[in-house]
Amino acid sequence: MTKGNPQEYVKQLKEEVNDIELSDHELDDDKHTELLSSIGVNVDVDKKHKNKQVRTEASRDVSVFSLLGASGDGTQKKVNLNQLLKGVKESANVNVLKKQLSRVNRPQRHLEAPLPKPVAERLQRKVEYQKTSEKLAKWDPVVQSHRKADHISFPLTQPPLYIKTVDKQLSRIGKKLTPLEEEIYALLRGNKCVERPDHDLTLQEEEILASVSLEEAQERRAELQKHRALMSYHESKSKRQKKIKSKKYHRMLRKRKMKEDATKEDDDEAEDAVKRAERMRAEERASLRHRTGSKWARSRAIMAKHDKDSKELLNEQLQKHRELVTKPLPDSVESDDGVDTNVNANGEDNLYSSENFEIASSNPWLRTNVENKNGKQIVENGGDPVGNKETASDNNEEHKMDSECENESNLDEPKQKLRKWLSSEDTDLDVSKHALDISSSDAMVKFKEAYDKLQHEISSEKKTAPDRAENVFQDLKEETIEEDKEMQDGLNEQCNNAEYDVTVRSQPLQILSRSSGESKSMKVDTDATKSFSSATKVSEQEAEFVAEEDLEMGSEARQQMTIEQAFADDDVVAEFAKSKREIVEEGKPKVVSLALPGWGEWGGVGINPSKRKRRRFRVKPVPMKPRLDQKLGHVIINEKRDVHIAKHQVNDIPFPYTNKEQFERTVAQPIGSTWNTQSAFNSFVKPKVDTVMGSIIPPMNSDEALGELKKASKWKEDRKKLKRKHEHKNKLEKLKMFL
Amino acid sequence: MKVKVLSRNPDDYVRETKRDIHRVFRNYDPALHPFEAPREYTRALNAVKLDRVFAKPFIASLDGHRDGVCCMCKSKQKLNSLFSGSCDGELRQWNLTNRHCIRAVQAHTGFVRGLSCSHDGRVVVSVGDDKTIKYWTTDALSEDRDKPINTIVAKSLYTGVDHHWSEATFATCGQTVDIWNDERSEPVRSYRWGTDSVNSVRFNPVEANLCISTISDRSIVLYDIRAAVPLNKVVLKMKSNVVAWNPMEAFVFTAANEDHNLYTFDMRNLNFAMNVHTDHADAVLDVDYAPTGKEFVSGSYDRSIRIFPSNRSRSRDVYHTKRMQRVFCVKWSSDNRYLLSGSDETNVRIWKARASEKLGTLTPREQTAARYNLKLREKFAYHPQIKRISRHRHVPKSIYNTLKEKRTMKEAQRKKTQNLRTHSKPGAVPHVAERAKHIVSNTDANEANE
Repeated sequence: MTKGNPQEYVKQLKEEVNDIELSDHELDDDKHTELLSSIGVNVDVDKKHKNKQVRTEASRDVSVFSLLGASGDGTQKKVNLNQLLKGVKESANVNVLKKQLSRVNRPQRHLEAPLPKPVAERLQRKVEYQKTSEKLAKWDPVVQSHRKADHISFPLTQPPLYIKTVDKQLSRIGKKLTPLEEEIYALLRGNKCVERPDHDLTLQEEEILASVSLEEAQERRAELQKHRALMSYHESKSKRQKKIKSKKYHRMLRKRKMKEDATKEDDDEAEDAVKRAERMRAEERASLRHRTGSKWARSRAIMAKHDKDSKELLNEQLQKHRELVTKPLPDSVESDDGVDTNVNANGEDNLYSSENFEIASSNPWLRTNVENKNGKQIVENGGDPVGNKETASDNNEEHKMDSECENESNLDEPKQKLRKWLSSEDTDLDVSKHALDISSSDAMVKFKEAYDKLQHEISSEKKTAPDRAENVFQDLKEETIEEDKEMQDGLNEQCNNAEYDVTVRSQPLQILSRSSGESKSMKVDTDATKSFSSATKVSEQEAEFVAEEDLEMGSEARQQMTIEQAFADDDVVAEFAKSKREIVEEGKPKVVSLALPGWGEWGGVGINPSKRKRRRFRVKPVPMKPRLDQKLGHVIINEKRDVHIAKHQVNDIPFPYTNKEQFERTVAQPIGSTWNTQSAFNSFVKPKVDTVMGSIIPPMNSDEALGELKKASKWKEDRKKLKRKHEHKNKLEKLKMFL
Repeated sequence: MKVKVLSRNPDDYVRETKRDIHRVFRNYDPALHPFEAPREYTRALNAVKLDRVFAKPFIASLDGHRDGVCCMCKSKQKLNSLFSGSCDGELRQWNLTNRHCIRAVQAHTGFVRGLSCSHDGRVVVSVGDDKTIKYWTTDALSEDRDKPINTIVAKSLYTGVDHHWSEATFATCGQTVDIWNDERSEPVRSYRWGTDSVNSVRFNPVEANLCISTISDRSIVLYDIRAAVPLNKVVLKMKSNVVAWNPMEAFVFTAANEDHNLYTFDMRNLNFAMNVHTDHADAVLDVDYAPTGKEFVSGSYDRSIRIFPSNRSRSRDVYHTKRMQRVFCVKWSSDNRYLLSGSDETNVRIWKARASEKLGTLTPREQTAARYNLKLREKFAYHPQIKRISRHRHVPKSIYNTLKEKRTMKEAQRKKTQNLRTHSKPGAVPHVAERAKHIVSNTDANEANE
């Protein structure tokens, strides 16, 4: 600012100096006044005195202006009356004067002229009417509810009905009672169990409640409840079980119980013993080592004629065989029915037990059977593209049928498999399979499936295993439709095989059971074959189904077709023409033959009236009048309308209804007692307004009508209060518990 | 071999006594009853026909008056007590149970203009053409039954009287509407709005301090007897004769008008009538609500009585007899069963409120059947045949012709307005609702104009 401009700088400096001088001057003034005040001269007064005009002499011509105080500089106000009065000395009249003056000084107020009477009344009326209208609004809810009510009973307030209690009666009578009455009264009065009018609980109940804490009581109650529930479960279960007629089921039940008992006694040893016995029995049944077939036995048999010892030995061996073969469990001895033994011989029983019980885990060939089935299912699902589209229920059904089939086909397999298992226990494959059983990875599962299939094929085709196993594994990986078909074929084949097997097996069975009764065994045989044939049918159907689905699968053309179909209806004109044609066709009279069979000729089943007769009794239709809409292309006139019926029909939808269906439904709903129960009927025919005969119906009473509304709200309040009270009580009780 | 036999407990199906009805077992499966609706329709048709067959509403006529019956009042405490006043100044008390006149007094010279019973049922107040108000005891057996308890000589003629529903207060009308206290001989308060004379006054049965009056200048005026001024008024095109309050809806009243119609108003909104009840062929002279508030009865100068549902514009029924002349007064009995009419030809008539209802107690079966029939008629009410039969009434030729004429006139009027509307500037002839058509003015509107 100051750099290149020295002149300006000088100027500024000068100005500053001036300022200081001015302030000095002011300072001087201040000092002056201070001085004056210290001397005792009032500066302000002095100034005022300076300005005021003071009258010094009395003269006639006093200026009004100077009196009013128009000072020279114009700052002074006008002289006030009060100021003038100040000068007047205190006297009795002064106060009165002051008052009068103040009244004069107040701003002036005056009453307005009253409104003309009609206007005032009009205003009053308006206010009154408004008030009354507002007051009347309290009736709205009552009136609305009455208008809407389906049923009202008049008079609105009917005298309440109540039962006279003994207490009230007695207190009212107050006369002397008979001894019996007194006794009863004393019993009723003094007893703790008597209900009290103003309490919910009796004295006794209250005492009990007080003696038991809440939580304890709840615990006990819960316990009792649980116990009761368990009892009822058990009861219902045993009832249900008792009702089951299946002998097999009961046998299983007994077996299970036995087993449970055995396990209870000494777990491991008993189990081992059972297992050992089972194995021994299986071996014996498979090998028939102790029967007469062996070389040694045959030689003994030759010798038996001559040698008693050898005969005994043979007998011993047979005895041993029998011992071994008989089931270790005692229930098999118990069973005395021919059918039962047959079923046992079929091996179904074994299967059943193996699926349900622990033996399954110890009997690998039985387990494989189950697994095999599962595996097959997986293969089917995997290989069948349609299978995924099918509904779950369908799937289930299919599998069910499948498994049934499997069950049946496996009936005689156990023995073969057992044999195989026993003979090839040490082969590599078997080892691997055992490993499989333990592991659960996917690859392993697949391999297992492959193996199972392989085994299956071995049993049916008698081919060598090792090199085919790999092929099957590969095939499974590919999972083509062809394979699926193959599977189906295999299934069929299997079923056929099973059928064959059963028929073959039924022969020895018959022989076996001849002693117990031929007819029963026959029955079993036929049943079995029947079931198999049905199973095969099912599998064939499946195959067909699959084929159909395959044909339909994945074609874009088909999709296009459906689109076309979806929009095919858009040709409204053609549609209308078609429907009209149909109606016309329908309305045309038809040829009727009135020929009755058996009139004038032989009649009966398979004999029709002769041609001549038919022709003779043919009634030709009378040509009808041309239709009203014959020449109208876009109109269909209903000529079927029956005026006689139309007379009874409603033309328009009546007021409260909005659509035809609604109205039709209410008309269709009968209200008579012929079609409704008595209670429903009573509610239907309840009249809208009900009156009591011979009673005056008073007009609505404000206390009662509005009181009802209040009562309803009060009831709610009371309930809330009660709830609060209850909660409070509970809290108190809990507190008591802690203390 | 055990043979299983169906066995039933005879208690289930054998009657205990001969009078019991046979118990019928039914299968209510709708599939087994394919013709429910048609069968019910037939039943409904039968029910409606039987209803018409048994429709005999007339019960009795009470004769004894020597001149036309011009006013009636029923006791508020007794069901069987009726008072009637005739044009020759006679006051009669009737026992409705045995239909006897139990007292006849020459109460006034000239007409007995109004009768009203007190809220406690002890006193009847009558006003007559002789400018007197007389108090009578209702006890027909007392010694001073022929003399009034009290007589008040008024300055002007009174045309009507009505008693407060809960206090010892009554209102009279004439030059003014006066509120009286039983103990005083001067009116406690009087209201006047306009110069014309007041025809009738009625207290509100629910909001007991409200009352309403009809005035010769075609207006209906509302009052609150606690206020110094009337509340409001509505002016109709023609004069209203009487007004009746709905005893169940505090703010609803119905006015019987000279233009053959009745108008129901909500007193809070006087711009519109809630409903216009048309069917009479001549001026409606009296109206009274049923104690249930669901219906009202009206008597007309056309010599007929009509019953209207309070929310419908058309009448439910019409009663007439050959001998019945102009009906001056009608009442609906307090038990909702009977109607009473007093007419010009000196008779008081008792009618059934529901024409085909059976009198006396019904057996439960009769009651059920009646209820069922009623419901059937309601259910199929929209079917043309049933509608036709239930609506069919025979009316005297005069009424029939007048109604026909009225219909024609109305149709012509409608057509005329329509033509006017089509040939004038849009909006120049506005549509006016029937409910507002007959209302000339409401005070609020007037004041707005002023």
